[in-house]
Amino acid sequence: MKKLSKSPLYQQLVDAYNQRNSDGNAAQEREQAFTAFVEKGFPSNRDEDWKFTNIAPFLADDYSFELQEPAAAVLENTVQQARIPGLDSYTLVLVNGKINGTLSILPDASCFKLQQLSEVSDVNYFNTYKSEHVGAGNRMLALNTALFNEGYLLEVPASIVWDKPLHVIQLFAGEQNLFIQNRNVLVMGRFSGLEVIESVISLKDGRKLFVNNVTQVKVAEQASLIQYQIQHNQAEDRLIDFLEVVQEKNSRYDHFSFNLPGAELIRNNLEIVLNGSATETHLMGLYLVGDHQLTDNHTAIHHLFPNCDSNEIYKGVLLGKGKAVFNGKVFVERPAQKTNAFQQNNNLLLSDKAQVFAKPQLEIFADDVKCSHGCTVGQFDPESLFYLRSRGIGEDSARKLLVEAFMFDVTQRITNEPVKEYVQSLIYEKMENSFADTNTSVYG
Amino acid sequence: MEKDDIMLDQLANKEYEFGFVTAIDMDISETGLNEDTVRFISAKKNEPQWMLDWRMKGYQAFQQQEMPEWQNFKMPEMDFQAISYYAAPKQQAKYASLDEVDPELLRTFEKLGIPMSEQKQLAGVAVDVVFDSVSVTTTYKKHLNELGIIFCSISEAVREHPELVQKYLGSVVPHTDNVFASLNTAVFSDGSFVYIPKGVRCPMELSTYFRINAENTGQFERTLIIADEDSYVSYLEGCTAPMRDENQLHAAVVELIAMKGAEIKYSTVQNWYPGDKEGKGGIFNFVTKRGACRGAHSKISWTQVETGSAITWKYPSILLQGDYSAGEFYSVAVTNHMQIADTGTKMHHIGAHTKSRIISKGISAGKGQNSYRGLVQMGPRAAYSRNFTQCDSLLIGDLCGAHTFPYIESKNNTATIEHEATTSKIGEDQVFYLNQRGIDSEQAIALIVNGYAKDVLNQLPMEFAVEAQKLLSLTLEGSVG
Repeated sequence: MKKLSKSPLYQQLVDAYNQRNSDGNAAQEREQAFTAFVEKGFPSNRDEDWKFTNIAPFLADDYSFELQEPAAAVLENTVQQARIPGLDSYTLVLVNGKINGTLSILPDASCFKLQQLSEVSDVNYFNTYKSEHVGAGNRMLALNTALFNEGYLLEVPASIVWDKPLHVIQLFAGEQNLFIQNRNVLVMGRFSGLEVIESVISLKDGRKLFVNNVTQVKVAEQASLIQYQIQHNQAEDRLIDFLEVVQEKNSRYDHFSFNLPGAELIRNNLEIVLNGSATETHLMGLYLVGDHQLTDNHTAIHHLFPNCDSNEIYKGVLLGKGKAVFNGKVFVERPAQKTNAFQQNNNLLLSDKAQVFAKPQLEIFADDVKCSHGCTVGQFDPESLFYLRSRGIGEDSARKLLVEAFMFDVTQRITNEPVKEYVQSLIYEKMENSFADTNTSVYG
Repeated sequence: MEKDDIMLDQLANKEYEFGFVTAIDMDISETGLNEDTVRFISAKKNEPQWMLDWRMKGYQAFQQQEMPEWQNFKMPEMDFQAISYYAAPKQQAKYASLDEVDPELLRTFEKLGIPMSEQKQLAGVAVDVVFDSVSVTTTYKKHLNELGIIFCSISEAVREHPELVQKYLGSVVPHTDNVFASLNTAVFSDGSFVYIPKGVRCPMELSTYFRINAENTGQFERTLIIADEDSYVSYLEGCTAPMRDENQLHAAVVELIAMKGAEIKYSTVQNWYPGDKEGKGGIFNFVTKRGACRGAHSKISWTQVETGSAITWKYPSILLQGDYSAGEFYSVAVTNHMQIADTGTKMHHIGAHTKSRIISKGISAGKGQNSYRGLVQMGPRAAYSRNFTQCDSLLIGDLCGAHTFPYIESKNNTATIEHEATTSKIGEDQVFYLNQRGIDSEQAIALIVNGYAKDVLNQLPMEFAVEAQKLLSLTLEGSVG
């Protein structure tokens, strides 16, 4: 840890904090968060939550905080490419955290309230939803709180249900290696409904990009939110994402996380606080981990009130020298009787160099609950493979079929057809070349 | 509801039945820990120089280590200087036969229900009894000697079989392993030593009974079991302590070594004094247990029933080094009142085709906190290895907690790991069904709990299974969920 403190980035961040302009109302929160970060520096392997994810090598590069808006034509072209084929949706485009009005397509103004986070004077927006259960000791979150500079605030008023999904495209561009701290807030009013698809794209010509992103979501009473997170990035991208969701009573929240090969480092923190009774939560994850990629999913569900259901399925396929980390925490506090909590994590290792570190974790303080988790790590079942081959299906096709079947638990739950097809096509495209070298002997 | 409360009350007021103190002359060392303490213990036991050197290494390692912080409970402040590191019954000359043993001591063991008399052939268990820090007597010695089996106290083994002790002691749990293992290395007083020669199947269960009697003492025993090629041994361990208001420390180290084709079965029924219902007193049971399957086709099996101690903290582990070696871990941990159990296992799959199976059943009642913490690790060479883990928790009452922290790590794609965990309470419908058939709620609970723990209890040798079942039923008496 001491060594890390001396890394140039640490000093850069300290300088940036000291030279910043006024924080307005948020001064106190930023100060507190900054102190928390400065004390211990970046997380290291010695922190339980970062035991298998060493970010030190990714911090060693020279980073700049200087953002540069790309030319309009380039921008338009990039956004066009980022669109999901066949998806009829509204689009919110953010360039370096700034809302781009010309490229965004949004519904009638009565359906939403959209603001630039830096223009929000009410500090409560990024503080009210901060629960005491979440993020304690997370120094990347603290760093973001201290130094985030841009992002959006989207509010869906009460009783408004959007007729089309919203595709949020976040674009980051700069002339040098970039270290970005971004923050978004999404507030769902009572009885409202929304489906959001999120993509993060970098324009950087082979330079490195480190994104430390934080999103805060509030789902009010009876509201419903579906969130798709598609992490389909370039090789030199490093993503650290913190998503905090507070659900009020009778609300429903669905989260789909698709981590694809590309970014060197993906670390997702997903914290769900069930702040009311009779809520429903579904967390679905698919991680396809490419060669030399490190994909880390940390999820936590805090059951605080009775009669809540949570359901979590994370499935991973590992290729090459990929490394996957999964940590799924379920907390059931004393008042949360009649809780139903289910968690499943399955890992398929398609290469003999791949590594998996899983830690499903249950902490239960209430007695009238049904909680279970299951976790598996393994290979193709040689018998299934043999069965398919004996019916004239080639080995490559058979393997593909089995991977498809393996992922079915998650993919079948994607209600949005174009998104489902898009994700599946990305997965197959990424796996296309990887089967050739996985013909290791399952029969050995 | 009212009836439940009454029954819960009864349960809460249940006394620890082994809480008596034996009035016996004790030889107790001054409290405190320094190099002289280590020398004192070593001298008391007439140990050779190499043993003292090793203890010193342990003491130095102990001083360099910090108390761990990763546990899921608040670590009590521990003053290592306030503990006496050596206590032994005074008349500790050599006993030629049981007749010479202090009759008070014999009565103690009678109260504990341990067959000490060699005439009790029917019991068929060879017992090594460790009273506070000293091994009191080992029964059936002659019979075992004929087969070449060595079963004695570890201090005797240091004198009589130094070559074996020197070769294997600390080879599974090194003196630097963790803070309590280092402490144990420095000050361990006694314990059991077992050596089973090649191809010998030990004809009877070997057993050690540990008892802490004296006040302000810690018990630090060390057990070393070596099963040479193609041998078999089943070993039982039991423990109790008197009721005292202060917490007492028990920091033992157990090392098992299984050579090619050998099998070791190690069973524990741990019933140290758990403290009273406010959580006052009780034993801190911080134990390091580890086995190594050194040879191909060897097998180690841990079975534990944990009902006692204020805090239990132990992870019997297995290093599966030999190809085709197998490890098993069966555990029932019950926490009641203010008890804390943080227990589980570690399976290190190093060799190819290794297999492990983990069955852990946690039962929490009162304000008890029960954690399962386990590690399953598949190394790069562990091709075609398999693990199956099942850890279930049962919650009785709404003030207790159940937690699971399984670590699953795989570096080999041909290895298979399966893990599943559930948490639930005793179903009202199950109790109702049994009530309907004329079984009262209390018995119904006992039946359900015993059924729930059956997978584990079935693994215990007969003598222990009966005791364990009784213990379980007693501990949970009347706690209708």
